[in-house]
Amino acid sequence: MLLPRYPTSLLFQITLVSLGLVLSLPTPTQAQTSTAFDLSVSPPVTYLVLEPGQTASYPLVIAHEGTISLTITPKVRSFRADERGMGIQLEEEVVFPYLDPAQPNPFAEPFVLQPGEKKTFSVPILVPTDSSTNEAHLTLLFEGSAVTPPVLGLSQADLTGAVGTNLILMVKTSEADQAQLLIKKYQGPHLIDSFSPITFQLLAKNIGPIAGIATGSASITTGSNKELANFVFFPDSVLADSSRHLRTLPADQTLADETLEPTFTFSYKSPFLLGIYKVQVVLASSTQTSPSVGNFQVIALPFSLFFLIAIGAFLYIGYKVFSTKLALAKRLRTY
Amino acid sequence: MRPPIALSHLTKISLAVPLFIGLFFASTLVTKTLRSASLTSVSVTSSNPRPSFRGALAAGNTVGSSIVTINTTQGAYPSSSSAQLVEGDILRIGNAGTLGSFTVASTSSNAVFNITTGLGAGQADIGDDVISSISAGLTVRFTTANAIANGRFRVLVPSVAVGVGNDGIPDGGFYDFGTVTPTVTCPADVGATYDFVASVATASTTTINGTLYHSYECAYSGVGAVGTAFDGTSQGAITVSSVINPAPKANHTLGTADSHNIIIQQLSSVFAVQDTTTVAVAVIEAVKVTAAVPPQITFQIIGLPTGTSACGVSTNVTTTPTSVPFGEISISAFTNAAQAMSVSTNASGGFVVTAIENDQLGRNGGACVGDPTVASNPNCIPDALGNGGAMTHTASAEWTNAGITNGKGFGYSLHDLNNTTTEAFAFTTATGNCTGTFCARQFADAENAQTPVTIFSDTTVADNENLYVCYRIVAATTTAAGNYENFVTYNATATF
Repeated sequence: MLLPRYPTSLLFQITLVSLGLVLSLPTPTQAQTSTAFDLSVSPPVTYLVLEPGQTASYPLVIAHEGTISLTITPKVRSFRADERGMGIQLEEEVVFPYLDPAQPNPFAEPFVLQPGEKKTFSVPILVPTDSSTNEAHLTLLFEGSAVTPPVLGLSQADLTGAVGTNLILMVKTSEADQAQLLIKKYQGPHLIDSFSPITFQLLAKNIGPIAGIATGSASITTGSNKELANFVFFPDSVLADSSRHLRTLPADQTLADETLEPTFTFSYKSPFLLGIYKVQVVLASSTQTSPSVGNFQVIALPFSLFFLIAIGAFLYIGYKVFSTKLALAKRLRTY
Repeated sequence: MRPPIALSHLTKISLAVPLFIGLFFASTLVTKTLRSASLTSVSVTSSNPRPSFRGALAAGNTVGSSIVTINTTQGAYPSSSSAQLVEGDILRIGNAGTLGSFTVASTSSNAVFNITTGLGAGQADIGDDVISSISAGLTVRFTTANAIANGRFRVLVPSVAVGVGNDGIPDGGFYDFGTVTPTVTCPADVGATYDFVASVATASTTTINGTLYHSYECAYSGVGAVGTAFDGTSQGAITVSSVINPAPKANHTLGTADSHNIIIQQLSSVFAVQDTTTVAVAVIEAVKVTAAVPPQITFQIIGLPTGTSACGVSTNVTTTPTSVPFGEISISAFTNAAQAMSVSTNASGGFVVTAIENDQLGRNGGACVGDPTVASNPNCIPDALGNGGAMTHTASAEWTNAGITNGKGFGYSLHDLNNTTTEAFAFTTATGNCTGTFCARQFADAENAQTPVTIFSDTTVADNENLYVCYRIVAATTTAAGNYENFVTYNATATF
């Protein structure tokens, strides 16, 4: 039977239109080839040490490589380090506490960055002469929002992306103001199986008034003081009155390598460990005269072997009991 | 009467033709025996094409300083630019007898470069030599043109007179022989055709058209052959272990090659040149590629189109980098949207991206007190509580049921598509109150005095670490008709 001419033509047209629509849909890959919002700031972290009465100009470069114009609103927030010292928690918005009043206020007005545009943002700093020793932890945020306002009359969530740079401003009133790093916590098992590695983490605390770079190492020795492993600390900064988990580089990396992947866990693996092992931690900041020393012990015993022996003994005893009972039952049946 | 010796035109022609042909062949024979032919397929390869450095100190250098300033007057010395040097080059600086050895640390301008140690006494005076010898091996390849018995191959390299030409100090425009006689390696024997017997290297011995040449020879016994390829493949090539490359010629232009003619000859048993070919070898400064990478952090937000597969669902809203336009929201089914976010930083401490909303979605942007606001408030789309009512801005919960009271509202999930980063949780998280279909959280609510929460982070340098943020919304049946809006802020900051 021949199909009517009209439906065939309609089907063909629908197929063509559908195919066209499908092909015209943007794919995720296409959508990502041009990024509308692409904001960067340099440098990401700055450490400044100033004395009361000193001035400095703190330069930042903010660049927009996206495809839409952005209104950039600079803001200053204080931050505090989290317990691990790695994450930062932004706190309340603050007025920049060390802004030089004699210079134009760079935070006063938002500015527009066109696609591909770069702006040098200079923060004039003045530490008042009556300042005491302290450390300010500030994040300078550059919030970017579309210059074109969102269309009203729609239910929507409007988004603002911000990129931030951290400023750690240390005010020193004397040379005695130095970081003082201590070993706050040793985290790791003190009793391990002989087939397990010795693993631990170290939390450092800075009780000094300004930040310091962690230096030193943790070593693992046998009871007879034979060194098995030595972990040099990654030079992380520990802020004043803050804690930070110490890190070390894997054995196959040095600070000169291009890609560094420091780890929080210090680990030593041997085929078999037995007895008492000593972990000695020597920690100081780069300017600290007397280091903080901690000694910890790890005892390795073959618990897994004990367990296997116990299981074996249990099975043997069970077997003997079972076979005795079986023999007794056979004897009874004979009688 | 005709003269007796007169010849007819025909006779003249008949005599001239054989005479011409005879002379032609005779001339061909004479040419073959007297004129040198050319060796073919000739090439000379240098293992290091950089020129040597031969310059001098300018005024202003001081003992103990690792910053060296050289004389940049064009033509005063063969080398007049530090651009010719690269990091790691070994330099000798000073006068004869006080020459010290230094290593180039970096170059900072045309006149200035840095060395890894300070200049010593007698090594910082104006006019003191600044020398860097670039040694190179030469590989000479060719194919013979004639069979020459018991001859020799000779490689001639332009030089200056003995004394200067073999003192190990680079010469402007000429090769230096070096203080130690280099090794000439001849090809392996080719049966009885070429039986190499000796190699000889001599400094500045041969003069051709007023130019002196160092000579490197390979003598052989045997009959020789036409077309033997000493190309390093069919037969071995001739190699010279070390020559000192020329310093730049007078009026050398930086970045332009200086050309030097090297001559390859085949000599007879009585040292007569039989075949000869000249090739040019170029010597040019290394291309110095420099770039500065400042420490930085980059944050990208990318809108995604409708139909994107994110967090296990297909989105039904096209987002932009600065808005999630839900449009008309259903009261019975979820509306899903997504954005991609990416962070790159070379800060060794890594980065943190946090998120916070200014408030829950309020009608025309109105305030929504509490978090979540009371369910009876018709003018807010609250932060959702998830299937079991346990979802907060810090606690994840499964959120797949749009038809219950706790399921109504707004929230988000995360999808680390290519496992590049460390996210706070994922839509597939299957622990606690999540079963792994759409594990979600509320946004932290600034109106309710909540602090921003981390959504993804890393503790070391990051190269395009990215994920999808998946937005989900469904309105309650009691929600008043209207437009609802809030603001979500993402902060990307480096860790100190």
